[in-house]
Amino acid sequence: MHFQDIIQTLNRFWAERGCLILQPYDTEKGAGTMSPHTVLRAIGPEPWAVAYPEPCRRPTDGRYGDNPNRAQHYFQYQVLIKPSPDGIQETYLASLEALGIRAADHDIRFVEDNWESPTLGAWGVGWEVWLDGMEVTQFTYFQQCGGIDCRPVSIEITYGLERLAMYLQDVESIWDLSWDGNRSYGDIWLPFEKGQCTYNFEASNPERLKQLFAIYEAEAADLVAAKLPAPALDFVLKCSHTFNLLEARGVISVTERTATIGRIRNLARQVAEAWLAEREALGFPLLSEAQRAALAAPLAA
Amino acid sequence: MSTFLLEIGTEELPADFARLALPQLEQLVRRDLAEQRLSHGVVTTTSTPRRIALLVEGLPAAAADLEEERKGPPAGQAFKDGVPTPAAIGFAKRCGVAPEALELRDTPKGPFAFARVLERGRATSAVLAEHIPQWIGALQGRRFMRWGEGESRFSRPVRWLVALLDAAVIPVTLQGSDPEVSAGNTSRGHRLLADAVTIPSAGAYAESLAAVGVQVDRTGRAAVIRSAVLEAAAALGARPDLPDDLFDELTDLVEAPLLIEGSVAEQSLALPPEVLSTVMRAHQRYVPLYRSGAASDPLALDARDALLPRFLCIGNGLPAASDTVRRGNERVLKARLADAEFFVQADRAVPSIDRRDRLARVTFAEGLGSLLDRVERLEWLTDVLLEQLELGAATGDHARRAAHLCKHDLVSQMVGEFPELQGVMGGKYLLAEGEPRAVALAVLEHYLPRGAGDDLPSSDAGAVVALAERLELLLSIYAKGERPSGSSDPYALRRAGNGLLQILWERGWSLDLQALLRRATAHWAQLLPHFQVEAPALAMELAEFLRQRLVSLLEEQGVDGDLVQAVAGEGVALERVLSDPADARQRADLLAALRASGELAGVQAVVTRAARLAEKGSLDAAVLSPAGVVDGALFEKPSEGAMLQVLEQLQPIAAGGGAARYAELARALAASRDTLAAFFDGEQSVMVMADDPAVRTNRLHLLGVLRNQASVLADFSRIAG
Repeated sequence: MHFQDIIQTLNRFWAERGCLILQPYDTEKGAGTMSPHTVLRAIGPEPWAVAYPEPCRRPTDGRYGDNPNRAQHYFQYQVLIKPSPDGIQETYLASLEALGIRAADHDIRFVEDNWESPTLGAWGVGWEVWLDGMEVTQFTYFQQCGGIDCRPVSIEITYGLERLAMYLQDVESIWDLSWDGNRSYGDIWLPFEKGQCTYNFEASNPERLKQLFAIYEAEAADLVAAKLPAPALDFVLKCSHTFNLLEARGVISVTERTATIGRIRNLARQVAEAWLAEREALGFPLLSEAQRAALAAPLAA
Repeated sequence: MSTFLLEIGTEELPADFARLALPQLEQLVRRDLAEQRLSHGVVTTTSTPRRIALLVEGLPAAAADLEEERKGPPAGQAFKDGVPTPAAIGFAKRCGVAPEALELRDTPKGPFAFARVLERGRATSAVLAEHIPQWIGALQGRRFMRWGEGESRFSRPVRWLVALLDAAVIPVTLQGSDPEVSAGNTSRGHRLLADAVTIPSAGAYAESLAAVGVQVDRTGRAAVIRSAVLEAAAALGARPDLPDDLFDELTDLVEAPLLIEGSVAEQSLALPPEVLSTVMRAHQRYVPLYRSGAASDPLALDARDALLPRFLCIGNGLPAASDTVRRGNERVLKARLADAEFFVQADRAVPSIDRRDRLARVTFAEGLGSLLDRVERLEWLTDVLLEQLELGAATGDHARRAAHLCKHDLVSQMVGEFPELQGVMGGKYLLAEGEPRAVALAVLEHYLPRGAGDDLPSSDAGAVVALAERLELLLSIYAKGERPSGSSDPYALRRAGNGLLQILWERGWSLDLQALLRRATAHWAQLLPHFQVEAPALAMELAEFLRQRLVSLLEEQGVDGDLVQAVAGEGVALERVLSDPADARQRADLLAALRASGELAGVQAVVTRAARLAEKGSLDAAVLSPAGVVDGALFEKPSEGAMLQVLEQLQPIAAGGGAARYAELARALAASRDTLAAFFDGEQSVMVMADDPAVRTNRLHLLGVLRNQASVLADFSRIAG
């Protein structure tokens, strides 16, 4: 199955199960979780079900395209459903089957792996899914996001698309993956990978990155103060990515690292709070009438 | 008699949850059944990744009745003219009997009203139904979660519940679970074999699950895994590397264990064996296979001599899929090892000495500068240690070079990825670069011991750098103002202190820690002026900390508490303990041996008697020789002269050096028992507290010197009789 067919199959699969199929969000980020479609929507009482592919950037993972298993830019396929439904593991296994991975032909296991994002003030518990020993998916029941307890709880499913594709196509290198049967993953992404690695590790200007970080941080703080959570999140994401670029240059000491992560987390928390307040002021428009009534009942009582 | 089955069906539990939860569940159930007067037979608990189960055998249909007598008001207040008073009526009502049924009986405090109460035992199923949700709710574990819209918290979502008393379903619903879970007789099989399976009765639990591919008995599953691994390893002539924590995890990750044997690409054996086995065990939960009988070189960069190009893993799939599963696992391992190969190549492209420079970029801890600063302090300590220990020029050269390079691998890619390989990679890289083997080994060994029970450095140079490493940590973190307290010891200072002492003991090195601390704290105060530490106070605090470490280490190693106190406790001068921790250790061992052979009591009897009286005198505790403090001209009885002779014999032993003197001292003390007895009792005895102050002082000094000489061995007042 070609890379693009995997995305299409997953789109179709999750659409049939009531998920909105969205597109990648246009800000650099380290994981699909950081998209507002997940990180903001997981907060508050409104139901939500969404699926989307998301490109991710992790500058320190770059290997100039020399390593068959690592890249600083890759794709995740992200599903978020709130509240988490019964039988979600079985639904997930059915999605693998849709991709041609029949459970009976493999050893598929759910192995404890709890997730925590210090920068997002978020954590959850769940599993990494092993497909014959290879981690292909991360499952997380969100417990907290932006420092706010998640009620109800969302389930997040994050597929590692390249790993699944390598398995399905039986190739040993990311760069040899077939994108559409004609062009390879390497044809499309390798030129970017090399250039970006050179930038991440050599050509970036740490001084200017530090200035950028300060600007983004100030912007995010102002936007939080102005009660504009959506653009504030954009700048928090920019802070996070700029921080990762600084890390790739090895110019962040351990202490500085902790302090900076603390500041980003603090901003993320304020964004989360502002988002929740904004949705509340709108009367949580995505709630059904019944849910709204149920939510109002204890308050009235 | 009936059997009760409770199965809590869940999404996949963390592998260690069962080990935490099963004992709790058993304890709760035993406690509550006893409280409810429900007798029972065997209680068993078991688990698989998807279920926690409990079986209680031998349950009666109902709990035992409770017949008891309750005491009410005094007879005078209970009845007026034979008529029950409101007090008696109230009491009878509380007991559930008619006022007429109250009996009057005499007690030591006079006659009282009594009620005979019969509480009927409740039906077993009712008791169980009431307690099941409480038991489930009471289980504790790490990182519990909520799911869906529910309020319940558990390790992972609860999806089904089986509660059977024999064949009858116990009606229970778990509120707060989303969706609500009601008990039934339907369990679930292995994911690949059956979605639902009916458990016809509690007693048929294990066989019903076995029919759908689940080996529910955890112990049985463990045994299957153990023997499969041993058998496969034996067939290959290999020793499986299967530590207990990995074994437990393997048992708790499968419902139907299936051994799979895979191969490792030949070229991957060019990696260090530690890297291969870490990747296999920690990342993939595979069992690495060591060549039986192969001598392993800890500095080898290559695993060909140590490992077989095979691994074992425990799968949970269907046997028919084994081939696919094996190929999949081999692939993953290959990819992981390719990553490791990349790291080794990248690391080896950079000389270790250049990595040392990069330590300047890594912060050690707030106010303590970079890792390079730490290394420089550690080098200073290495010099001081070498000066004090006098180990010869070659060891000195090796230790200095090793100290200079010891942390280089902390900025290597390999250690960045596998922090547990710190030191190991550093040593290997250095040897490959042509550093002397002794230097490379010292770098590897300077992290030893990593914890209680770990190996100690095997080389002098490694031991010196290991000492310096621990001293640097203690001095720096103490200078920064942080102390270990209670369970909080983030820098593992206690472990560092223990390691320091263990190394000194094992090497048999005499090291004056007190002198070293005085010198080092003065140096630290200069290096880190911003902490404004007072060097002497810091030295004292560290010395006291090390004394505590020494005391607790000796106790951990099985030396009796009173003997430890006698050698190193509060009553012993800090100087005495820390000027040579090896000496303290020798004395503790000697006392323990004397106690074991029954000789300690004799020595102690002599010393205690002398010391008790000597307290009344004023002789300085440092005086070991009778010359100048005891005057023979004042003697009135031969027993005094005999005592003086004993003291003169003991004096050179007590004041001498060498470890052998302690045993000699103990023997001489024991031998003086008769002399001392004659001094105190019988015809030749003297009155110590004589009226003449000069005679009195003289006799007290005789005893005082004996006490002082004995205290060279131990503070005998601390030793329990």
